[in-house]
Amino acid sequence: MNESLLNLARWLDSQSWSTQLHESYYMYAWIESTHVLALMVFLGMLFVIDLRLLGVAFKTIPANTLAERLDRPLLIGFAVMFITGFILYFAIPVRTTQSIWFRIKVVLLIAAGINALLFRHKMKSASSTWAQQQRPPKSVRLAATLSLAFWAGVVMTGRAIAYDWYDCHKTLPNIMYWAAGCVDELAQAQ
Amino acid sequence: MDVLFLFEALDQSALANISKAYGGIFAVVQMFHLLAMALLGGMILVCDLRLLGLILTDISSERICKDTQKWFDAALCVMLISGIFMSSAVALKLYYNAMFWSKMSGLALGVFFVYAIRRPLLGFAHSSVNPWALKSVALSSLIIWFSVAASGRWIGFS
Amino acid sequence: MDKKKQLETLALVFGAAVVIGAIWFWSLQVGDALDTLRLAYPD
Repeated sequence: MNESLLNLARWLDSQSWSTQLHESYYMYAWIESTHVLALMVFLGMLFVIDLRLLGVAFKTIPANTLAERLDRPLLIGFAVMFITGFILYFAIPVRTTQSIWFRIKVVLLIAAGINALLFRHKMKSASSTWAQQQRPPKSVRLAATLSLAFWAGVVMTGRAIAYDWYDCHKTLPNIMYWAAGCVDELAQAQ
Repeated sequence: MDVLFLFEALDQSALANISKAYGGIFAVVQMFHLLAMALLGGMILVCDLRLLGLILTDISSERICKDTQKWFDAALCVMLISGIFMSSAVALKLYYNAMFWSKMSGLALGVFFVYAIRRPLLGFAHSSVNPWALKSVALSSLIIWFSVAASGRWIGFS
Repeated sequence: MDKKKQLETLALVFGAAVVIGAIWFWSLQVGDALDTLRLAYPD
């Protein structure tokens, strides 16, 4: 699996677009800045919704109203983050693929996505009797807590990608080489 | 007034000893800076977009904006504290960085604007306030805070 | 002028200043960026 991921990354790396982005004077910086600024939109809206679902903010506004109405700006923010994120990956594919932080970030993204989908489904199918309550039921508060935890994790691991503490060229335990997909280094170490 | 002495003091401080020595702590503090930035962004967006009549139009803007206040204050506090911590690690470099000063000007302007103009004005019943003043407040808020965020990121590139 | 009217006027003037200031500041940044690119890529 690590081999195929690395091969894909190396193939992407060989594309001229990737090199142009990576070596461009400003493109990478602008894309990355947009990615970070879009956090204010996407995660900002998410914070508002999740804090309401925890019953600690906007208590007099029905929870389902807030969630529904803020959905559009939230998804617009997410789209910007996803697109810019993909471009950032595409610009430096090999290092990113072999970044343990990026891998954890992807796992957390998937977990957050599943949590969100499950919750949306629950909100639509069940009667929203709790929407008017200041403090929603436990299962809702749990979903909101998980959501906040997953997304905080996404932000933190995302920021950590830039640090080289666990990069493949460092001396790491074999398990780390395997987890991060440092195929060549693992082969050499064995 | 030349504030170089302040930055030199910060550079030599106990705080700087920690922030410079432990890259891991610096990184975690910066992560909280980012999370607080998202919280601040969400709180201003929800109030500003409502004031501009773009979202949640069937709920009173007074209620929405009032609810954002304590979260905005908390987020701003976290950002200021984490910001000072991070600045201590690179104090002198920041003193000589033009983008840093642009960000600080924006920040000072933003803080003045929120507490001297926006909050007091939004304290009145919104229907009794000049609608252009409300829109102006919303627009100023969005421009200032996104500019502060953008210039903040750009410090890293300059 | 009562307090509300004062704040309203202040908000309007401040808002105009912020818009003009932001356009000025960010165009300067874009200008600098373009200049830097021109220097980096003379052709």
